[in-house]
Amino acid sequence: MSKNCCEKVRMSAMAIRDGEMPQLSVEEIDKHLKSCADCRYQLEQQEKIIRLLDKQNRRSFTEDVCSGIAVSIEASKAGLDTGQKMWPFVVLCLILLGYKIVEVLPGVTAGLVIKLIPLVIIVMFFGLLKQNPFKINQSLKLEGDSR
Amino acid sequence: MDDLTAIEKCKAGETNAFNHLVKKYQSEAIGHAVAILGSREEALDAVQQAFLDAYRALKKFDSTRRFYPWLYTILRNQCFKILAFRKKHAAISLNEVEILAQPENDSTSSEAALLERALHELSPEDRELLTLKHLDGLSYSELAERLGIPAGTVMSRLYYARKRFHEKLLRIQEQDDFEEINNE
Repeated sequence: MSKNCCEKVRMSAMAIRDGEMPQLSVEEIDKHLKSCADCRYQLEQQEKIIRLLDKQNRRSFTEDVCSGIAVSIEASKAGLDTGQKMWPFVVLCLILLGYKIVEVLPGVTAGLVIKLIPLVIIVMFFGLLKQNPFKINQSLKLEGDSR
Repeated sequence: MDDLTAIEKCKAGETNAFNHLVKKYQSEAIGHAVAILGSREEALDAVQQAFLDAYRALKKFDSTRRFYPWLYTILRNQCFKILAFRKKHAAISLNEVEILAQPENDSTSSEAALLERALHELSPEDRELLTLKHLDGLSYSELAERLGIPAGTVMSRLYYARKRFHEKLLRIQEQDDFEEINNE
């Protein structure tokens, strides 16, 4: 009897035991088993294993991961919002760049008032956005940090 | 609230609805992650990351499917990523955790302990397959869906996994017998 044939029979017999459709018919399996002591022995061993494992239950876990996930979701939403609110900062960059170009043009003498313009622009900008640039976002967490 | 309603609410921006899904499936997910990883801490990390990835991918969720098998594929990928990381950093020490529930009966507890040891000696793939089949009672088609393989492959993989499990059990028993003889 070839090894492949034996394994096919064993797998089919196991499939029947598991309540599934086998590759071979019941008659083919029976016919083989009558003449193959090794297959009969192997199937008996597998039957023991199945019975042992079927008696067991999965351990239940009571750990709660809800809060960690909620924090991560909030942080990821905050990240998304930041991405969507990028355009005002792009505008600010362009204004400041324009200011710098004007400042370095020959013939322009930068007095104190002109030098203060960038600061005024930035303060006005954050005022308009109603954002505090010095506020620390405490809801942000490092990925994988479950504390 | 059923899963589909919770998912629809999440899609509409109600983050709290996702909490319902987390609460419902976290215990099952931790148990499954523990079966693959064999470690409680890593399992908790994997579950947390899997839920987060699922939340981010909810828009792609096919409403004709059930939520947990979909989450399971994400969790599974996360677990195997952790295993790959562990393989690269072999120095990581692990606290193995029980996969099986402790039986109340003393006579069956030694049997469960033996099975537990043999399970931990198996590869994560074999351990995953055997626990899904025997502890969760999944059919071949359900196993095929969870593992992303054809049902025919499930049959052969299950056969070889049981065979290897039997070999591990025999080896552990022999080892214990040998130690007992040495101690006498």
